Amino acid sequence: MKEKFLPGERVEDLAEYLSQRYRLWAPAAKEGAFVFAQVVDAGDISMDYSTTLLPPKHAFLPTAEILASVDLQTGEADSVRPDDPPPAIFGVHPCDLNGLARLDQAMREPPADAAYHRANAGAFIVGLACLKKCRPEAFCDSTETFRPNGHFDLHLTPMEGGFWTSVQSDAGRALADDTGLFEVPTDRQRAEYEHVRRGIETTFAGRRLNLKTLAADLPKIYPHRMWEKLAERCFSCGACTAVCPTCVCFDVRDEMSDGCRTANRCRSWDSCLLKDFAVVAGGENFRGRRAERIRHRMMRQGSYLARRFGLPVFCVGCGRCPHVCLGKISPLDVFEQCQKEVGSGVGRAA
Amino acid sequence: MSDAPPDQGDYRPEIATATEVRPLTATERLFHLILPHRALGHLPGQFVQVSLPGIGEAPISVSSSFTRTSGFDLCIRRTGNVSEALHRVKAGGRVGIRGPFGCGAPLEKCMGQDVLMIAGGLGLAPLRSLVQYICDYRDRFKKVTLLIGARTPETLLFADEYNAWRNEGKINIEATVDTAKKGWTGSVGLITNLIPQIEIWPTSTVVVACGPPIMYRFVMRKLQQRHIPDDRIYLSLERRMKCGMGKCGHCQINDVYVCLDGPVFRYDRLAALPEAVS
Repeated sequence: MKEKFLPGERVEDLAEYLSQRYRLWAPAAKEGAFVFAQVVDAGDISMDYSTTLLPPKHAFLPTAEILASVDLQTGEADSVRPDDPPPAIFGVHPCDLNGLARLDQAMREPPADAAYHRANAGAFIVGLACLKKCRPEAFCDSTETFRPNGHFDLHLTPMEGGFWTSVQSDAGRALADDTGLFEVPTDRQRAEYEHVRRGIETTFAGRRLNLKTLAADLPKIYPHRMWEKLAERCFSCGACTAVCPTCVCFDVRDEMSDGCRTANRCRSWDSCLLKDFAVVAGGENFRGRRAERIRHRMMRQGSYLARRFGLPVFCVGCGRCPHVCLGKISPLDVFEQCQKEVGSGVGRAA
Repeated sequence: MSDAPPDQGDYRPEIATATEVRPLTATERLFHLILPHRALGHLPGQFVQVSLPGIGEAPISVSSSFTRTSGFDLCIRRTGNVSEALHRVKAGGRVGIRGPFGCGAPLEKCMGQDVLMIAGGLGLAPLRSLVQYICDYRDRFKKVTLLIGARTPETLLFADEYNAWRNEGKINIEATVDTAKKGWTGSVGLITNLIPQIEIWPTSTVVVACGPPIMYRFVMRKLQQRHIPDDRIYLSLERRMKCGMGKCGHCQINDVYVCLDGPVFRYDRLAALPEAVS
């Protein structure tokens, strides 16, 4: 990995450069909160944002998009190939970098999702280190996702006078050379970056989970009264999955458009917490009870998808779901209780 | 506009032509479909996503064997928006097809063995592909039995084909209905009642069952009473499906995707999937 230094006053120039070549998404203030928005003016970017309402997932997997179209006059079907430039996301915190990496793994696992692949080929990601915890509900320390883990082209760590820049990819290297915005770091800057990096490790040293066993522990409490207890607090509203960087479930619907001359196949976000998620045409609901649905989400985040993709945990600990949950349900509490139950051997009761 | 078949993992349907459409019962129709550029290339037990532009897409099991013709059959029950609209498609009409998806019935495991097929209601639609395959390669299998259950004689699917399956396919067929009027000479009662009556060699029989979840609960009990090992029993599971490529999450049962790992599952594998047959 190559290392560079980006002077603080040039960060807007970097964003400007990206906005001319990509569909640029970046953190911006909106009505007292932060969102990843498509940026028109680099001056609108908030580099010291806490965390956004939604993760940057929608830059890669839009809330709604057209996957394929059928011309009803000719009957020919075609995939939609966006003419838009690929997306770039600027200033992504490590939890969301890990989230984007997991989204990518899920969508590119063979058979890869061709629509996702087409829309995101050549995407560019600029990470931004967190020096402190953004909110009390966040638990990226316990999931060990406070480090960027490599899923970026450039990664910026704030320090005196600017940003230490880790260059990960060929595209990142080409950009660094092409823009002329970056400097060769001095020994003093390197020493300071090391100091900052160690500080991050100290700040995020708290651990409430044993990641070595979590994915194996959760299925052991599959039959357990805790799920019924959780269901009493769950409104089955699906807010948790909407704000989740790693919840990737979606719906596919066919719709008419263009005065019934074109039929579009559309994708939109869906949620396994919603009551009808697993209903088949005959009416049978294979996850009809709320306790089954909240358990399914926790199992996906803590075990099923983690094991599928060789990760210790799929959840990235961003803390968005406990923040928006009306019942204050936190995966951290659930995972922690699970490990307590498994450790104490109480988890056998149905 | 490309003539090439969709890439793997694409959402673009191929346009198939319905060359023949015939009603089977008051609620089921059989469609014979032909793709313009290829044979479907499916195995018994696999399914396709069938769609009408602007209306929607539904997962439907293939009802014919690849050994029969260049096209393939879909038996579609009128039960939702998409199937309702599909029932209005006439011969010569066009529908969208993606697939085939999933892994099919355990053909290799069945070879050289007795095969017991158990079909409840619409479950005969997917199993017909296996029945046809067995008829076409009859010498690869030993004793073959097909148990069929339906609500009434009128709702029995493919009843006009049973004689051919019996005579040419040398398949022992037992059909039962829940309720019957005068004129029905077959069994009356649940399909589970047929299981104790048939000759079964537990360690040389492979069971393939397809039916509603409630049927599996009772059928499994009867099969276990006949001492058939769990790793010789296969069940085909129905789930909601959207993508067919293990992404959308709708068909997930615990940590497996029915669209990739199913829809046919070996029963001993389902022990680790408590959501499968609850």
